[in-house]
Amino acid sequence: MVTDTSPLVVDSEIITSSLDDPEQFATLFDRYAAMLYRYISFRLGPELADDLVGETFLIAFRRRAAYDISYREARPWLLGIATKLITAHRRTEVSRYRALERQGPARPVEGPEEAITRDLTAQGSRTDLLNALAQLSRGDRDVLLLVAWSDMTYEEAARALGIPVGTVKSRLNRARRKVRRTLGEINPLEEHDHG
Amino acid sequence: MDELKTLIKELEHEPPASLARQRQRLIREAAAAPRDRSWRGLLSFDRHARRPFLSGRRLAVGAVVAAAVAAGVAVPSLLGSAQPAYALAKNQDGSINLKIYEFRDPERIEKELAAWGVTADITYLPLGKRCGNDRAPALAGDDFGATEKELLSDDAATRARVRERLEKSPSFQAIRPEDGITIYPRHIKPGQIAMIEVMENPVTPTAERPGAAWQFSGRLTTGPVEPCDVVADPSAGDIGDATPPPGN
Repeated sequence: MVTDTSPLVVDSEIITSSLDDPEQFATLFDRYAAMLYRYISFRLGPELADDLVGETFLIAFRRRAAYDISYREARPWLLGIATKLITAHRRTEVSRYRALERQGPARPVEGPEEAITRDLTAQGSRTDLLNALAQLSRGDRDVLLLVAWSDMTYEEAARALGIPVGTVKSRLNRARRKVRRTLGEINPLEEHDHG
Repeated sequence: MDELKTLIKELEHEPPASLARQRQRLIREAAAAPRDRSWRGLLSFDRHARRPFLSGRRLAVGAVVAAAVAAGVAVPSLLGSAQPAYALAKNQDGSINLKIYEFRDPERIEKELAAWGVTADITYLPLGKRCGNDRAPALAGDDFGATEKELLSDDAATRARVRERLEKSPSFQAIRPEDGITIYPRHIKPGQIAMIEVMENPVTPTAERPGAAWQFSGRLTTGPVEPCDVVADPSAGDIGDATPPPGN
């Protein structure tokens, strides 16, 4: 059982020591499982998230010898593996967005007239946004949601997904453009310059 | 907060307690996984070694070296910058953390360590080289009595036992592969010398690979320490994690 979860020990060192002492890898689980669960559950719902968190760590564990230890933080690597697993369930993801579109937001609309109007507007853009996400190509959706969810830099996203930085940028631009168009030119996305 | 961020917050779920089952799943897989044997290649008692089999004493030393080397550490993008050639930091528990960014000035590290009461002998070696001589007598306590059979065993339990014994050795207590190299002066007795050999990866850093990987070996000795007789170490390539392929 792992006893040292000190943040002073960097991820790359944990991965290296896990080559000789495999159980050490559980420290990464303790650090990142909750984060991965939030990410996967946002895209696929809670039903699959539990299992896919486990799956992500098993894949990472089996590939640990190939991890580039010059990258100290394993978070982008793990999110990349999770994203690929999510892509394999893309039908579930699209169906989820479609179903949510029909359902409306979880919270009931109540209150004075102004608030109702505001909520209805928000609900309208929410529906449009879900519709836009469902329509995106999987490559564009992966980049948009990975970057929006994790605040990764372009470089980190490129490494996580195993694609060139230029591809990250072009997919992100295209995805943002499409979403913006669906939302009637209202810019829903902060235009951080991650580069 | 933009609408996408709001949507994300709405759609994500908090991890349930059942996630612990997934941790168990990982632990089961990890417990069954083979230990990396690359460190064996660094020792000269592997099956293909031409040199005579090491005595118990040298075997112990070799094992200390190997365990330390197994924790090859990557150094962040500091080459070519104005960073000092090394950085020493004293931790609250009295241990000294040593991160070697560009290991060209071992004498200065030795001086700095001496100021903190640690007598050290530091040798820089390019990757693929090692010291061909014993250099200094080993501590009696480092001989933890592992047999060749135990060291080459495929049995996870045997290997765990060997590692446990190794980690209890005085050298491992004093010089540990933690966050770079961490020296614990409280485990160094008066008259003992911390002997550290660093092997640096000579690969030129690039944007994709900003760091230079390096490995080290460390042990305690009572001296005297002879100069390193540098020889080629063909097993350096066996390490695997010196220049690993990109992650993912």
